[in-house]
Amino acid sequence: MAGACKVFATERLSAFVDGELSANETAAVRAHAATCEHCTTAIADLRALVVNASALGEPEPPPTLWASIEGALDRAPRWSWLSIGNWRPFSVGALAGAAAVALLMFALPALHRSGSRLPAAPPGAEAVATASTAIDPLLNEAEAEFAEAAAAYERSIAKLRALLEREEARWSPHERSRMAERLARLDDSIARSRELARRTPGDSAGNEQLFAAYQQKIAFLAAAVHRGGEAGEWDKLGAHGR
Amino acid sequence: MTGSRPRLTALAAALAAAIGAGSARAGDGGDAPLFDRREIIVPAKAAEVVRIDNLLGRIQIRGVARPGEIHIVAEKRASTPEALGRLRVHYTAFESGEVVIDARVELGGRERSLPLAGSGVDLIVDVPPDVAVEAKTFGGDVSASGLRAGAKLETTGGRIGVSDVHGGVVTRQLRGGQRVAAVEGDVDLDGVEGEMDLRNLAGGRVDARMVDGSIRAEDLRSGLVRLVTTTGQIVLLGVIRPGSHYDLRSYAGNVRIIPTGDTAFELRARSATPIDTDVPLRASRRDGDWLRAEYVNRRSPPTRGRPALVELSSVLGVVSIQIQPRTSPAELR
Repeated sequence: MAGACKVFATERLSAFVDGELSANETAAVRAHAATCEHCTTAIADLRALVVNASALGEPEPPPTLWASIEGALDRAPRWSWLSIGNWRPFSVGALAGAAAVALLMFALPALHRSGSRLPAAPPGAEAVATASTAIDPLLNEAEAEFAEAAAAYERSIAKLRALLEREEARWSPHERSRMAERLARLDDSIARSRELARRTPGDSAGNEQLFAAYQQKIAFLAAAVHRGGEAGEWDKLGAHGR
Repeated sequence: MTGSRPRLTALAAALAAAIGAGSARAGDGGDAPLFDRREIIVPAKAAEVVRIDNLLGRIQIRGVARPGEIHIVAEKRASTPEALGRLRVHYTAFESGEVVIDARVELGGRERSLPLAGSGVDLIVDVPPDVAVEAKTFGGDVSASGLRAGAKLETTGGRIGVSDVHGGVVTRQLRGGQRVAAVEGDVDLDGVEGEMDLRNLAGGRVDARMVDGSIRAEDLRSGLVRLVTTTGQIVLLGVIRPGSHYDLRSYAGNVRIIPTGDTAFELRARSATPIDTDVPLRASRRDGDWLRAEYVNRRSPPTRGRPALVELSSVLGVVSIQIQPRTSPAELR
């Protein structure tokens, strides 16, 4: 494992795991984690914490929870009453309650009609809820969408790999070896991200990290193909390819 | 970067109006999807940037709202009332001037932002023209029009559409295709699969990258035009502007420019086969794999300052320069 990374505090990584960061922050964490072994491991640990906590009868809040709640309350909109009905402080997500303060929901007529307003998850309900989501048709839809996107990334990578092989034929053994080394690192990043995403079905953040790893490899391969056409130029590529 | 979030203390965020709400089935059959439509107007006097995150469906953004207001239409669809009831849309306004609209689905007692196929939420968001917009979908189309402070659009599998936008435009896409037209601002487009169609762009630079797909561009008036694809073709039509730099590169596809004016330019070209040109080139010489030449039409006006630099490269395909289209417009696409 790499040494400690101080780019993102644990609280931010925890918020990332819970999907509570803004789009910009999420992208920043994702991009950073794709190249930082320490943060990738920390994110995996936090995910495992959430999953494990959900399996406990009486889940303990993670150590970062109170600091996050205090921070969220400090930042919370004055109009938090608008979302009070949706606040589930100890739901499955470690920080779900903290972030829900900031949310305003458009309630559905169908919800009102059926009277099926979702109750706050009681302590101990998470394990049941997690089990039930395994066969949830909406979760199946999401997993199918993720799988389809992953397949599209794989197809593009395969096409680029075939083009690169044409260029590699002109390279020296040393150049081919260095390229193989770089691709192995990118493949390792993809494999680790895929494993993280696989651990928790319906994990958007995990899949986003996987897609970021795919994008990094595609960018590198595309740049290598283009520069390979200018003999020996691929070796001047930066870490992100383009 | 430490990732600290902008201060969230409240901006007045109120439900000003809720109109036209209701749900219905699309058809008579019991299996037809259920729809629910909600329409609200929220005050957003201090809004500077609107971020919309909808992995559950499409996003259409229009810069037509009155100043200080954001108008949101949420159309939800699902096969059962129970599933419909689990689709949510949230609106949050922050004191920093950031407004966030996001769609989520309730799963296992927790709301999540997840892509859905049969079920989903489509958002139509009217914003004041002067707010910057960032939007993200997964499989749904995302489009922006009428904006005056730029747009950043991201999608995994939806189509991207941009028209009539002032300010920088940034796109990121896995597949689906992109149409970007009538932009006055820098343009930075990135896609893996699909076709790019660019028209009438007038910012300082146009940078478009595609891996497996073609790029067709017409009437680009930027100082720097960089179009790159790995496997697809590139076609550029329009006036070559003096002093501008055009860098068009494909690895496996053909690269073609069809200048419609008489502007002289310097040419650097590389092609798997001899350059296919029906324009007179002079001072031609080889520089490794590259051909260097000048194009000066008899009708070319005297060039003041630096002439345009046109770089065309295709490792496996053909580079061609045509003055008059030899094919019908439909074939140029």
